[in-house]
Amino acid sequence: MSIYCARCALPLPPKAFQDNGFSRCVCGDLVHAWAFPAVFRGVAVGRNANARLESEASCFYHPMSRAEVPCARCGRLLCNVCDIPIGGEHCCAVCFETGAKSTVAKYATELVLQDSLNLLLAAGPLVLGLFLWWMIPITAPLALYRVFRHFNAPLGPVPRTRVRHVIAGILATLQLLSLGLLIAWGVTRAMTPTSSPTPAPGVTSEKDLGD
Amino acid sequence: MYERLPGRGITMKGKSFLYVSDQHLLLLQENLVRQTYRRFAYSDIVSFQLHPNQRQRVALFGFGSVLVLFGVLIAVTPIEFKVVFAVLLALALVGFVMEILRGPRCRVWLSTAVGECELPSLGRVRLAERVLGRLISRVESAQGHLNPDQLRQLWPGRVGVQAP
Repeated sequence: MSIYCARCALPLPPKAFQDNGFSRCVCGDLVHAWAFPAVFRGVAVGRNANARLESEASCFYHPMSRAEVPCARCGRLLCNVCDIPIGGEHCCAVCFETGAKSTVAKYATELVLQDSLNLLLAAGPLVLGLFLWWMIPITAPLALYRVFRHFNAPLGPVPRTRVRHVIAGILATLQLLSLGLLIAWGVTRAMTPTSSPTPAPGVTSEKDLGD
Repeated sequence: MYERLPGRGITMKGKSFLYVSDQHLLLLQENLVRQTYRRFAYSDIVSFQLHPNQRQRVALFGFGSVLVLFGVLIAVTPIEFKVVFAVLLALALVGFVMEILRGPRCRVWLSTAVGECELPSLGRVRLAERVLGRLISRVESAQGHLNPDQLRQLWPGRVGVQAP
């Protein structure tokens, strides 16, 4: 039982655990370390599933194992191996995995940031305007749709506001309005009858030529 | 509810932050559109290791080289380029001074019974010691303190080891 250097994987010297400073490891690295009683506890051993008798209910995932608890979300019967205890509840692996949108969001290990994605969609073509301006007719409606679609999506376990959603929505709306105005201006200009150009001074008209 | 700890690390995977809650430490890694979380219960943390390194000297050497380069360029280039290089020199000078003010760099590892994990947000010795002080008090309130007799058991093969 020992604590190993994170750089060289050799046991750390005892002096590294002293309160007053750093010690040099065998690898030559300076190190200061703090150890806690958990070092003596070791890795917890998982439970084994109990074999099922003929009259007993079986686990949904392991037909030969005895069911111990139902999943609190889907109700499937679970053996000791499949049971995931969370905050007083019992959950199966599938519900645990898909539960990021429900009350087990605080246990999620990964989250796609919909607000950042929307902001990227709305602001990307503006920031890279020289190259991506032609994408605005696609990205602006998409960003606006996604803002409404994902506005209430979970923001993750750490504090975070919905300001990116709002900014993305405003940017996408402005882009769409600009696009609409541009199209309206173009249509108006196309439909306006062009007046005949006035002859330049010194140029004779057709009538004069006929005479 | 999480409380964010000071420090921000930038790695190949994106930005990294540390948060504390009542039961665990949360290591958050964030790239452009995705966050990844790793949780370490205070009762499972085996040790922290702080390794100071020489990266500050490397950074100072880099900033110093840039300062010298821009200084030379200011001296030899025509007046219209001097302004541009002066601005760049000022930026490099700010970086140089900030690097000195923020203190020496380090790497910090957390270990549990099943593995080790680097905490990239604790990249400066002064900051790391401050943050680890808070974390250690939380871990010790969950696990208790390791007494000298227990600490001596970590080196059973070494005779005469003095526990801290």
